[in-house]
Amino acid sequence: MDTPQTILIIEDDDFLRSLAVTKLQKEGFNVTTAADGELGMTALQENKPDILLLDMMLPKVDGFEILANIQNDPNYASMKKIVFSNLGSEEDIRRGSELGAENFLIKSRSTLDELVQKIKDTLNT
Amino acid sequence: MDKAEISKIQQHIQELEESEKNKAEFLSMIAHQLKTPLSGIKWTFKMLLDGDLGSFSAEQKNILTQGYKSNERMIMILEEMIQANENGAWDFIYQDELFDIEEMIESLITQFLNEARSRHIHIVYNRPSSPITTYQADPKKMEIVFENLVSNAVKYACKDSEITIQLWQEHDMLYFSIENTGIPIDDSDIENLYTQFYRSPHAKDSDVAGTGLGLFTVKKITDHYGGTIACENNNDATKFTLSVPLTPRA
Repeated sequence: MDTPQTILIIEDDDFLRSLAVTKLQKEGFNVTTAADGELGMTALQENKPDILLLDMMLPKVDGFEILANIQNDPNYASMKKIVFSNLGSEEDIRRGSELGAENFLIKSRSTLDELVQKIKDTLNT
Repeated sequence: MDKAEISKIQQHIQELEESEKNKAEFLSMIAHQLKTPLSGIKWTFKMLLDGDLGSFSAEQKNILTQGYKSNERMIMILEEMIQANENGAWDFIYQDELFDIEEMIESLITQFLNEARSRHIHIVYNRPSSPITTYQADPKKMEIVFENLVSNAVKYACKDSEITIQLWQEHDMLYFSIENTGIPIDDSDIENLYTQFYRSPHAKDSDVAGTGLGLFTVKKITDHYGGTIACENNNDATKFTLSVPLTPRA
């Protein structure tokens, strides 16, 4: 059997985080979480996941800073980065992609099924 | 008017602009804060409906579907408010340039095709007889205008109907018309359509979510260019016709 893919979710809203964890675990992913940007950076350094699911508006260190911090670090070159945020302006998407995010999903416009599909698509690219 | 008076008025305008900007930023912050709990509600309903957490009876599912739809309406209203706020009355800056209006209209129609198809609405687009190459305006502002008109036509059209869009130029004017069959607008309501936050009684009674900001914004931008927007009724058919100068008047 294949080893489950690992996902780190950095999301500050407890409820959203718990729903995403429930859904992704049911889909067979190995999920870890962090509730703010600082804890997220620590989690990234301790265990590099296959996929980073990143909110943008985060306490302490925001999502853009996290992407900027890991952008040129070869350790994270193979890690897929999906921005999962309610920031959805063209400018936010452009900034996110320039900082290395492979995909962008707006929370209020997406269901968790669509998130799962996006993760699978991102892993297959 | 002497220099001191002019400078005082300029300062006053600057203060007003600053205050409007602060209000817009405040509104934007509130709207973004509201999106988080609404996303949570959306995901919860969807997971329950999909049976991720166990199965429900048909009756329970029906109520969950209503709850999901109601929350979707709330998200849409919020997004309309964010858009109106970002492009609202306090946005004084227009940056006019030559742009491909035909490409803009075609791309907007493509954006709404899925929604239209899901309700068996057929969109017919009558292109201009010769290419429009001289149209100048602020593309971002005009996109808001056309997006609102197309979005309204699709939202308020009834199932299995047709929407006809036409774009043409005549002398020094650009014309755009869009006609749908669906929720009617009474003649007595036509003059109120462009009032901020106004929604016609038929629109309010319908399932369609709205803020009463869309046509207000359309009118505001059209007025800026010295154009006109008109609405005509014929039984259940509603037709909006927009006309704006091809080149902004100084």
